[in-house]
Amino acid sequence: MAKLPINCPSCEQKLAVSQLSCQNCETVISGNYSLPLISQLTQEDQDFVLQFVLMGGSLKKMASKMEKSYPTVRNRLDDIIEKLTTKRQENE
Amino acid sequence: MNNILFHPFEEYSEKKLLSFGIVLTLTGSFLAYFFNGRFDGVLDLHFTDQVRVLQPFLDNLINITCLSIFLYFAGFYVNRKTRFIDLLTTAIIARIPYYTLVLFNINNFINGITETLKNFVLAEGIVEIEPFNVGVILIFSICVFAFLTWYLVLLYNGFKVASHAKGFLPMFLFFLAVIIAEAVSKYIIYLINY
Repeated sequence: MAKLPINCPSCEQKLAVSQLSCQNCETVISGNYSLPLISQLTQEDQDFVLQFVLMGGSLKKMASKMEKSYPTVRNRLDDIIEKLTTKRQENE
Repeated sequence: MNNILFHPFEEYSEKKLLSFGIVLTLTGSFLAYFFNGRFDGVLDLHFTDQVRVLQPFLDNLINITCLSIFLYFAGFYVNRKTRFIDLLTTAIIARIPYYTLVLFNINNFINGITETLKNFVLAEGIVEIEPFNVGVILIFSICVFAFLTWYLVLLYNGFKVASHAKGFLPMFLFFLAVIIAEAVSKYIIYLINY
């Protein structure tokens, strides 16, 4: 499956979801839905968050797996938290 | 290669950095004893006629402790999640390039030339100065400047990673911490005067 884009390739504004379809019964739902907060992150950040959850929330294990230092991984997580906080405030 | 030389704190765990740093700090201290070097301040290196075996080791212990503590205070002010161990490894690793400067005093080489130039300055009449000596001091000065810059860059990069520093205030606090550490370390070494 193709990667989900987050920003418009023409004007670089945030994209919204306007149509969802069921792969089983071909039902199509139209509307205007915002992308989930996590999906609004870059692919690298989303992969980081996924890895973090799969590692049981352990920064030490993340650092070991990513072969980076603990403070580097902690700083990356703090940056993602800051991005998500900003996006949540923008959405409200 | 660039990462190892200037950004080791992003790549390696604190255990690896600590082990590597302690070994090289002990080696650097031993070389300082062997080549009559004293690290009598966080940013200082002086050569003397004779150095007692424990002096460089204690110098470095005081310097690393002062640097770690004051950088930790600065880092903690910027970010409460700053860990002391990260600033300790920063202080230990950052000083490693500085230890190589003692090699300039193999066979009392730099100390001898410095004494000769001192006599030239203090002499009352016209004294001939050898261009070779001036050249050596110039090269030594360039090396000191280069290695001091490398030391400070490593120190700041370590501080930035440990405290996730961004902007002007952390940079200001960093330099303030280094200056205070220099003053305190010099005073402690002077007070102990072992």
